[in-house]
Amino acid sequence: MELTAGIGLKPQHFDDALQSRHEGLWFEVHPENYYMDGGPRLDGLLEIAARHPISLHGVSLSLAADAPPDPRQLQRLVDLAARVRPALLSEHLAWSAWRGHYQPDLLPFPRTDDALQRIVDNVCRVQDALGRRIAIENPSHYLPFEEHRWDEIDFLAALAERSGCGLLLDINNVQVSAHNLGFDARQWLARFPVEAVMEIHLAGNEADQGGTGLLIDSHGAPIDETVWSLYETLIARAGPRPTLIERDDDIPPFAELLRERERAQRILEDAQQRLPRRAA
Amino acid sequence: MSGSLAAFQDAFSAALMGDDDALSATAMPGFAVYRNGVMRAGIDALADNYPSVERLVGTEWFRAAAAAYVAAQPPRDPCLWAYGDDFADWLRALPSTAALPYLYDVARLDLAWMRAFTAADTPVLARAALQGLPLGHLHLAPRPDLQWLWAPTTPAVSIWEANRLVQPLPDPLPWQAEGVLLQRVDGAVRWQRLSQGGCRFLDACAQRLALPEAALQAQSAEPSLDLSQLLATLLMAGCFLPLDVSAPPHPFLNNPSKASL
Repeated sequence: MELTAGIGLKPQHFDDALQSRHEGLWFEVHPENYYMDGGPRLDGLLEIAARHPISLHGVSLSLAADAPPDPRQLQRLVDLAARVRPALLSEHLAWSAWRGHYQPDLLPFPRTDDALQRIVDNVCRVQDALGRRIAIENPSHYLPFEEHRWDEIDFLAALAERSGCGLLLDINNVQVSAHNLGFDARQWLARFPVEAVMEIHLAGNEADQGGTGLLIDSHGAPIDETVWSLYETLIARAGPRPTLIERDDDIPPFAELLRERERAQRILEDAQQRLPRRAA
Repeated sequence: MSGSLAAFQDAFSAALMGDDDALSATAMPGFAVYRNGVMRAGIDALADNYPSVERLVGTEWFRAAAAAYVAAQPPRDPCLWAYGDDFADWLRALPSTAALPYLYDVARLDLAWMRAFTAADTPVLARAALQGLPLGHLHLAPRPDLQWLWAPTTPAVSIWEANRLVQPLPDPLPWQAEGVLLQRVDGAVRWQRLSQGGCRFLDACAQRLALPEAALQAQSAEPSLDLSQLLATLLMAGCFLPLDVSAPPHPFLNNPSKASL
C-alpha cells in the first residue's frame, strides 16, 4: 500500500486508531515507549500494526555521539521491528546517550569531517542490524556553532550518499531553525535533496515563554500556517511523500489530528494527480 | 572516539548538568532550551510513573522534588517509563517528607503498578495441576506481573488507592498496617488486599524457597494465618507460573538483592 499521510500515535488514541478505516492511514511511534516485556501498551501497538502500516521513529540511538550505538538499544529496536514489521524506520541527526547517561533530548554537534565519518559509520551499523534502509531527520536548532565546517544540507546529502540512508525532512524543524539561526526557510528548502526524502514531518511550534525570542519545537500546538505553505511548495517540487502529523504534547482529540491529516492528504493527492502529466 | 567530537560531548554534557564554564554556548539563550528540555523530560517521566505521589504532595512540590532527583540520578536508559525505580527511597531520605510516613509505600505502590503493567505475559498455574503432588519440595514461582506490598505502620494502601483512583479517602481512615496484591488481569492492573502472612509467603516464593519453608515464614509473620485459605486464594487469582516454566529472578519490591532495601 502506498503511504500517504499518517498520524503520530499515542496510547490514548489506540481505540480510535483500531476503529479507523481511512484509506492509506498509517501511524508512527517512538519505539522506546514499547520496549517493555509485555502488557497492554505493547499489545495495543501490535494490534494496530496488524491493521495499519507503522513507522518506528527512534529518539535514542544517539547516532551523532562519538561512539557506536548501544548494542542493547539496537537489539531492542531489531526485536521490536521483527514484531511490528514497520513500513518506515527513522532516527535523528543528533545525540542523546553519552558515557552511560541518557539525556532525553536531541542534542546538537559541530558538523565536521570527523562527525560526518562517525555518523556515516553509525547509520551503517544500524542499517546492517536492521537489514534495511533508514531515514535520518534534520533536527531543530537553537544554537549557532562557529565550529561547523559543513553546511547542514551538504552534510545531510553527504550522509545519505555515503551511508545509503534516506532523509526524513521535518519542515517544522526547518521553520524553527530558520527563525532561531536567522536563515530563510524557503531558500533552504529549495536546496534540499528531495530525491533522498523518505518521509516528511509536520508539527506545531511555540514562542519561548522565557522571552528569548526563540521558537521552540514543542509538538504541542496545531501545525503553523507557515509550515503548511512551505510544505505545499516542497511537495509541488518533490512529488508526494509519506507525511506525518506529529503531536507529542497537549494531545488533542483524534478527530482534530485527522483534520490536519486530511489537509496534508489533499496536498498529496493534488501532487499525485499532477505526476502523470509531468511524466508525459 | 576521535577526539574533537568526544570532547564536545563531554563539555556539552557537563554544561547540561550545570557547569556553565564547560561550554561557551551556555551563555546563549538557546542553551537553556536544551538544559530545560532534558530536565523537563525527566520530571515529566517521574510524574507519569508516580501519579499517586504527585496527587498526594501537589504538583508544585512534586516537580521541585523531581527536579532534584533528576539532577542527582539522571536517566541512564531511554525507556523513561522505567525511570526512577529508587524514587521512593530517595523521597524517604528527604527531611521534608518525615511528616508523611506513608509516602514511601505510596511511591513503591506506583512502582509496583508500573511493573505489573509492563511485565511479560506468562502462562498460569492451574489449581488442578497441584492435585496429588507431594508438596514437600514444591516451589511456587510468582508470575512476573505479580507485585505485593505490606505497609507495616500506615494505611498506605488505602491512601494510594484513593489517589490512584482520584477518589476521596475513606472517612474515618483506620490508622493501621495494610497489604495489597497487584496483578494484570485482561490487560488491566487490578489489586486486592493481602495479609501480612500472604505478603511474606510471596516474598519467600519469589526467593525460590520451597513450599514448606514459605509456609513457615508466612505463619511466623502471621500466626493466625489460614494457610490453605491463602493458597486457595492465590491459586484462584492465577498468581503462579506453571511448575515446568523456568522464571528469571522476580522483580518484587522487597528483593533483598536491591541495595536500597
